[in-house]
Amino acid sequence: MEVSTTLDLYPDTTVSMVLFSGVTNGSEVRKKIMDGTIEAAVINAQMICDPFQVLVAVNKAVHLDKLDKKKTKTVFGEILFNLSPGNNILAAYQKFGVQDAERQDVLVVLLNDLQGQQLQQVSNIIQGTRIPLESLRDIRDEQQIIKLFKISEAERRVGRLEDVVVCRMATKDAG
Amino acid sequence: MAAKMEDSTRGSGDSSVSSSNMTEIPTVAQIIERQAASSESSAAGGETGPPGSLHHPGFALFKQGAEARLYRGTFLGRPTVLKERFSKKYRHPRLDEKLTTKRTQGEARTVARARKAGIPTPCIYFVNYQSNCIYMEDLRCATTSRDYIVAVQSVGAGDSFRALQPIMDKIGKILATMHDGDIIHGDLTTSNIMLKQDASATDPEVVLIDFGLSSVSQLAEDKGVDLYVLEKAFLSTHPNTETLFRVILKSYTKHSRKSKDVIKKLDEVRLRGRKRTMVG
Repeated sequence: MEVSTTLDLYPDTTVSMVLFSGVTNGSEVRKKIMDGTIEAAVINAQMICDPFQVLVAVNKAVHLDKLDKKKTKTVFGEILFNLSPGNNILAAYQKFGVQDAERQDVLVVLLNDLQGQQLQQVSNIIQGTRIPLESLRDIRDEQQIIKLFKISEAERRVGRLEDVVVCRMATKDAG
Repeated sequence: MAAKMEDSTRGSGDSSVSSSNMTEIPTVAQIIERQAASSESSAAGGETGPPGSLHHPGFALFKQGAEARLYRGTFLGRPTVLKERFSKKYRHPRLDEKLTTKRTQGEARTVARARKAGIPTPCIYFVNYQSNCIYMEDLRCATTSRDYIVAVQSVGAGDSFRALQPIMDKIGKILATMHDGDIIHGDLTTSNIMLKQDASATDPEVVLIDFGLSSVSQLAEDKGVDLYVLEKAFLSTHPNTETLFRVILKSYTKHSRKSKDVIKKLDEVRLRGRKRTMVG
């Protein structure tokens, strides 16, 4: 249920992704993120097309972190920012971060959790059920994603939705 | 005297694939398969390539151009092409840095713009502006239109035109969409026009690559020059293909909203025989 990948370009960084369904204490989770208790990226799972998209966001965040050129304060905030089509950090957190809803599905991203300790800690706080990462495909809200990214029909036809989004993410700061 | 007339169109009982390939026009899918098979047998360089590839572990150099080196490898689980723009030692270092980054940025920007207009291009995964590296999708199940045209023409069958015409049609349409989006490719050759066909696809798809020299322009002149560059490259690489290229132009005219002025400029440029506007 916990999928770990090492970043090809940064082999000293291991990324773990876990999907939680039916999370009921979203506000509490957000509070714990803001006060530093939780050191993870907690992402609104509806806005994610595919785990690859998240890895791309993590790779860029780690890249900028190492160069000390992040736009946000933490590498986790940077992951959320990278997922967003725009340059407004707050909007990125609002759309891609944990929501205020009564029930939601979230994707938790941890870095270098080799012993599983961080996941344990996060699992104790989040009130939800761990489900397989593959379920992400069923959770994703295509219409919302297309609307937020303003993907035209022509662009949508170029390839899979996750590729359209990933390319947007990768070329966001090209001007 | 009973003259036995052999019906040459009737397939012989012995259907050895190798002999029928000599007279049959290959499909795009077949060429893609052939290239994939031959690249597997000639094992790729691996991690120990020429000195340039040492700082890209997991990537192997496969092409060196005037501006960039191309490597193949895996990135976050996906087959990836890494395009590394390198510095030119003869330039002033500060200018060189700025120029190289600007080119990288421009390429990323134009790819994004092209996709917005509906032009299929490889998906960009990551751009490193420090090292001027672009990590992008390695097109699987694809071949260059150059290789396909060469393969079809080498068979020497009479109906190579018929086989290539639908592809030229598609190319013309994509170029029309691109120019209508005011995107100038800048380096149109048959090596930069790829043909992609997955196992599930019935028809090949045209994919444009290498936007390194691309720009944005509304001017019919620039679009005309773009087509002229392709024409020169086309006719010099593939002899006796004037009729084939005309299919591209016909399709372009049909699918473009602004083709009239562009074709007019193309004719003008042809007469001038040069790629540049004659100013001053």
